[in-house]
Amino acid sequence: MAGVGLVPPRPAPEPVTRAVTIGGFVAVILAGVVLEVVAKRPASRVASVGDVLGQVMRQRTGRVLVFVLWFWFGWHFIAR
Amino acid sequence: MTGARRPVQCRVVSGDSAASAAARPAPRTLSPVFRWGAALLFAVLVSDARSLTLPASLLVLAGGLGIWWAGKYAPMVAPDAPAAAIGVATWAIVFGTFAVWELGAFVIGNNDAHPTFSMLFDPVLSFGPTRALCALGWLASGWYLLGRRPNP
Repeated sequence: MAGVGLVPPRPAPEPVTRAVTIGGFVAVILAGVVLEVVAKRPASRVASVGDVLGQVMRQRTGRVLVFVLWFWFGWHFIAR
Repeated sequence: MTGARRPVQCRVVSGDSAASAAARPAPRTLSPVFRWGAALLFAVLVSDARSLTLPASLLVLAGGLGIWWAGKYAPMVAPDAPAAAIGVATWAIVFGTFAVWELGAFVIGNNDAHPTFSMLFDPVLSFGPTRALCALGWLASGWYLLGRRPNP
């Protein structure tokens, strides 16, 4: 009983930080979806993700870079 | 049989441009049956291969090399019109934010309180059918990226 007062203050509750972290991922993914929908509208100034990747992959270096990134995703999520 | 001669093939092409195009050999492309068959086989094998094992690593390596090889037979397409700089910049911000958030979660915690995107995805990838779907999605995205060769 004597040690009750020595308990250190608790850090931020785990569920809060977890929710904030997950919320950040959801927000970024939603932003990407909204951007793609906007890009598909006629006369939109925003490029779709396909247009951007197409532009990057016009050159061989960009094509190799995108391939390496794509391969890393597979390695990280499936093989890892 | 060594002395057998192959018949000489001749093509008669008229001056018509359409006939000239028809006389040109068609570009070699992979048949959809072959592509789908290989992709489904890959997905089934991946669904049974656990992470951090040699079979899973070899399968991903085979999938990557397969897409690279299939990309060599992809049809040529006319290059798209260049995207506006503001459009490219907007997507760069979205991808950059995602990368920073992922890196932040990894550096700060990489635990239940600060899960990375990979950690959140683990339950999906540990169940066979969803793992197979993810493998199929990975291959499909690879084909989407490398399945068109811009015609220089």
